[in-house]
Amino acid sequence: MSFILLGILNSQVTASAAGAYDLLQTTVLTSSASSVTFSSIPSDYKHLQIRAVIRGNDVNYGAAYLRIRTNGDTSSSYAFHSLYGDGSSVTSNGFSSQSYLMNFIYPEDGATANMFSPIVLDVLDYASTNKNTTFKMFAGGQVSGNERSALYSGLWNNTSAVNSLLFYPAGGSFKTGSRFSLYGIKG
Amino acid sequence: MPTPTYDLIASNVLGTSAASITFSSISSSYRDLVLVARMFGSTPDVAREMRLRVNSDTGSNYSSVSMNGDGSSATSATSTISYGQLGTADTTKPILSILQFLDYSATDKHKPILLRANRPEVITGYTTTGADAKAIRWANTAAIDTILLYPSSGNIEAGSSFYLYGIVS
Repeated sequence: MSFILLGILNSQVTASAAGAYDLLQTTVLTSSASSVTFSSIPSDYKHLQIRAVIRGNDVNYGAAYLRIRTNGDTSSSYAFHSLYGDGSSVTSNGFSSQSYLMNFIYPEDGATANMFSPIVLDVLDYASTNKNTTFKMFAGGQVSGNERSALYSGLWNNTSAVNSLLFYPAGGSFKTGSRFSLYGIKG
Repeated sequence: MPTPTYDLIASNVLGTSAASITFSSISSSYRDLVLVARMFGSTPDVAREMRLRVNSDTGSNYSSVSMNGDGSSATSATSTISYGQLGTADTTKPILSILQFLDYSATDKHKPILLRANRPEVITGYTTTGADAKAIRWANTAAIDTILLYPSSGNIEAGSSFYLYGIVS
């Protein structure tokens, strides 16, 4: 079990002096894309955080599903749980032996205009080679009929260091303007 | 070369009570904002709801879907009203909130806001927020340059604290 205390600066000191939370890569789509990949992730951080806002590109649909893979692994090596409110009730689901993580619902281009879903994903101890990699995610959205305030936990059942992360929709593409940012957190 | 990020933009710890807290003239040079707030209400044993508005928008442009656990049940609700609801507090039982404003200055998107809020102690007579996860959408494509926090009535009490951070991208 490991614990990392991350202190947020309580003074007018620029983060360049502390350097505990670094931007590694950002992708802002200028055209639609079937996936977004962060590759060649350096191993000298303790945790990763991915911050994203996403929307699908298909005007014929209202919602799509976000999936995540690690290191190009397409095997049934993932497990995840969700806890979400949909505006009327709270539901919990669990999945094991999956070929992807999370399956979070977000707006397609047939949904309310200009609506993107926010996502904050943490990948904990990602470079460790003595433990399977764990994930936690907080995401939300107001797709009509598929409203979500959602918490996820995930597991990649592999002790390899994470060096790439793939984000892709279950079908279709991400829309222009969708944004994915990768941060490294030192420990 | 990694870019260091996560800048403290502004902070405020109340020495005396205040009707509201405003962060204004927020720079558009960041990608996301994170607001960490701990708020007390001004009336003992009365739950005052803490609320959010951006850019002085008083229209019914704040849609949210919430998930809440109050110690006995888990519930979910939606709303579209003239403010974002952060949770309730009194003089000794604060609401602890972390608000994430993603792509706050993008002019091609409505503004998504993720809220985690906790009030671990029950305010007598009120079955209100315990642990809350909420997704809020400000239905406007304007860049956010002002954030207002205010109570449903009374003041925000002394000792309340507010820290606004910018995340570079």
